[in-house]
Amino acid sequence: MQDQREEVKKLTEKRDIILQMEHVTKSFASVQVLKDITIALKKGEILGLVGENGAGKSTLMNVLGGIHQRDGGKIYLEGKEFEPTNPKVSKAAGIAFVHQELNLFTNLTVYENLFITEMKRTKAKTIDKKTMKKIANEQLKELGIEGFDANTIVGTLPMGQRQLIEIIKAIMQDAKIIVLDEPTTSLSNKEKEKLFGIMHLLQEKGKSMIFISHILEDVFEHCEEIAVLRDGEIISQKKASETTNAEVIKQMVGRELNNIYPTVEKEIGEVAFVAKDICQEGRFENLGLEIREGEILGLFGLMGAGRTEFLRCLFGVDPISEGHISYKGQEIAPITPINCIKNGMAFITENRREEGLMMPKTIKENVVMASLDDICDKSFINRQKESEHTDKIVKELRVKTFDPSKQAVINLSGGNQQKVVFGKWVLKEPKIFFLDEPTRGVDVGAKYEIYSIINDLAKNKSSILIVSSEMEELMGMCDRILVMSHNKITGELEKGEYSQEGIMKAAIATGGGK
Amino acid sequence: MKQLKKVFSSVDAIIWFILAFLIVAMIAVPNFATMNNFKNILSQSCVLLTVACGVHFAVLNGGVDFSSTSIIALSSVVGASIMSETSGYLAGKWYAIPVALLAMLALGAVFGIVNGIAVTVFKMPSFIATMATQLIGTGIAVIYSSGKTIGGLPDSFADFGGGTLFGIIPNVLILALAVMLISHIICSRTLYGRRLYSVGTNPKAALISGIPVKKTIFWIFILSGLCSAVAGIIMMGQMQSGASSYGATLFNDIMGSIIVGGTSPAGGSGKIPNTVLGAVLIILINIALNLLNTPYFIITMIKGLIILFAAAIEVFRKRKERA
Repeated sequence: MQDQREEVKKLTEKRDIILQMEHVTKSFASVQVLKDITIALKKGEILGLVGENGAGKSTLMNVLGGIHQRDGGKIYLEGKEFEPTNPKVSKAAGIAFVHQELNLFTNLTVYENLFITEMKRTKAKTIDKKTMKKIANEQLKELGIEGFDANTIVGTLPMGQRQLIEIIKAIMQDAKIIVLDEPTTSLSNKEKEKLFGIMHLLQEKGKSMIFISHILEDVFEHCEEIAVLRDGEIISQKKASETTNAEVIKQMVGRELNNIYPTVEKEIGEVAFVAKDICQEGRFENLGLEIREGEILGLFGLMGAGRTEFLRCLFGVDPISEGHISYKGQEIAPITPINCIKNGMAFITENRREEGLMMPKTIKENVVMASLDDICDKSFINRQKESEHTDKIVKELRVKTFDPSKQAVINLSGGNQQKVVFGKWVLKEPKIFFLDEPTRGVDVGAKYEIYSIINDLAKNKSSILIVSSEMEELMGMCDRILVMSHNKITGELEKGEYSQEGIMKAAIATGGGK
Repeated sequence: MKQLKKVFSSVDAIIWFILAFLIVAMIAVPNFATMNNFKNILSQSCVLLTVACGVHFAVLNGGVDFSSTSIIALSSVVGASIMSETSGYLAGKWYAIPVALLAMLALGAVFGIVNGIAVTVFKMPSFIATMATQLIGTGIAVIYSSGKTIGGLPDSFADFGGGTLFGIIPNVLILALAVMLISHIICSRTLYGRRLYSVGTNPKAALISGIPVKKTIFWIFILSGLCSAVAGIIMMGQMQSGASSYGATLFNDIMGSIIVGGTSPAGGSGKIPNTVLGAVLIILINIALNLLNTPYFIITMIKGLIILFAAAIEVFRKRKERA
């Protein structure tokens, strides 16, 4: 009798479950990104998925979305086995994704974006603008979205409203499951509330959602259940009411913080690098910062806060209307990349594929790329010097490769690629080092090595500036943190006074100066 | 055996293609395997080889230099109009030849500067900028020469241009080989060459790595212009005259040589020796089909197919590298 009752209970529970993953695994090359994923999403519920960057959240979602094929395990959709072999299959099965980086065409209108994959046609096979606009406006009305309509050009809208368009897109696919991958990173508080409102509205209509976020408060407030992902494993899945903030953090990190961030004994000296009165029309007004010798300075800000753009101005990549930079009292002018490099500056951009590396070229060609002048005798390449320099860097930074003069960078893992970018600059022994998201897309092991490289540089009296959207990374690595919001510096925290709340408070401040 | 395999795989596909073509042509094409034809191949290669090396620089940056053909035409009429014994500005003067040659080179450089400014300062795609200068250059050449062929070149120049070394090697081939060698050294051994490949592969990364991107791109067109001017000198020597029609139909063969040689039109990769081999293959096809009395438009069709084939190989190879 007892058994039967349990069985029935189990069955009804199963019926409630819309998506079930069992023991899903996935490796890239030799790195196992997903070790054992067992997770269940109930109908009409919002499941919060939390985990550090690099824990495997994106990979997991890409497996569900049919972008990557899993190696093992099973996926059930509404009780039936589900094989997401390609993105189309997932889409047809009613799974929609709202990505952190929006896939919108900013030069097109709202309705064109909404119908981009399947434009409505008239009988004459021309585009049926009228019907599309009507449907789009109805959708906007239904969700209570105001401030723009179907005809608005997406590029003119703030980030928050663009996010809403992505969600409408997902709804219009008639999705049963909507996966939201850190949708709130670039939103203001008000926009966030709007988003959550719409999520709950959808929930009432029976849609199920997976909500990926770094902001635990949001997860606890808006999700029924919370799953914690760490190093490719689901550590726990519990009802939000049955767990606590502290427990989730412990599960997420799973180890002491000092294990992730290596420490080094170093001396912080006098102010070395000074940037003053940096102005860029329509963006920055009299922005400045100072970095001491041997200091690691962090620069935090939410997406769209202007941190990357500020860095690009300091290195002369983007134009400025006014401003000065100097090293040890000596002005560096004009501010151009060539001149900055000549004066001992280095810059790792946030997107290594686009701005850091020559993907089809060899490790050697990439490593010496910024040091061509140094490996040339008069105007001719000294091949011996070239090889010596490369070998030194490959060894020092432990780049895993069979032959640096043969292996193309495109065939390296993310972590090794990032090491090559580092190597390019380490070779020049930079005095001032700007790092924009230095560990983005890098696995946990390589992260530690990259942190060690950064520490070693600081120990050798380099002044380092790290921009990161990972608050923990900055808290673990930096001697001081500056916070930016709306193109202004809104906070400064010394090492003793770090707290997530303090940093976040400054990051969502509307500005008003230092 | 393993070593043999290594040697085979290190040699680029184009060499096998040329060898295969030679064998088939020698068997199937009458009069192909003759000394006379061999000389013909050598002398016909000179212009294409020289100008293809120049355009190669532009393709390395993912661009193109259409103006190369008009530089051949314009420099040949200008050079001829200076040195011609019958109608030249400096007819009979001892310095007529060097002045004419320098003027031709200067012309190539001027076109390069104009193209370079258009691309780097005004940020026009090289496709548009060089197409415009090509149209302008051709127009000037026709007006300047009144559409006539300018002959009567001094004997010493004509002897050089038409003469051979040891009765086989055309004198002008040495000029072409020199251009080839210098281009190859620039590409593979110099600071400029490295910068060029970097800019061609990823201009954004090159800029952030402190490579003077604009300067590098600017010099592409000067190098290309100079190569085209040398091609103009060769053409003038071989034809013993200058005319605005010279080089007019050459552009397809130039791009054909570069693409068949495996240089990616997207920029960043491609070697001069392969472009040279590409030029040789194009010439071999021209000559073999001519000997078979193939109509001109059939020849262009066949060349089109071969370029398509070469481009397809390139695409597959890239896909294989990615995987």
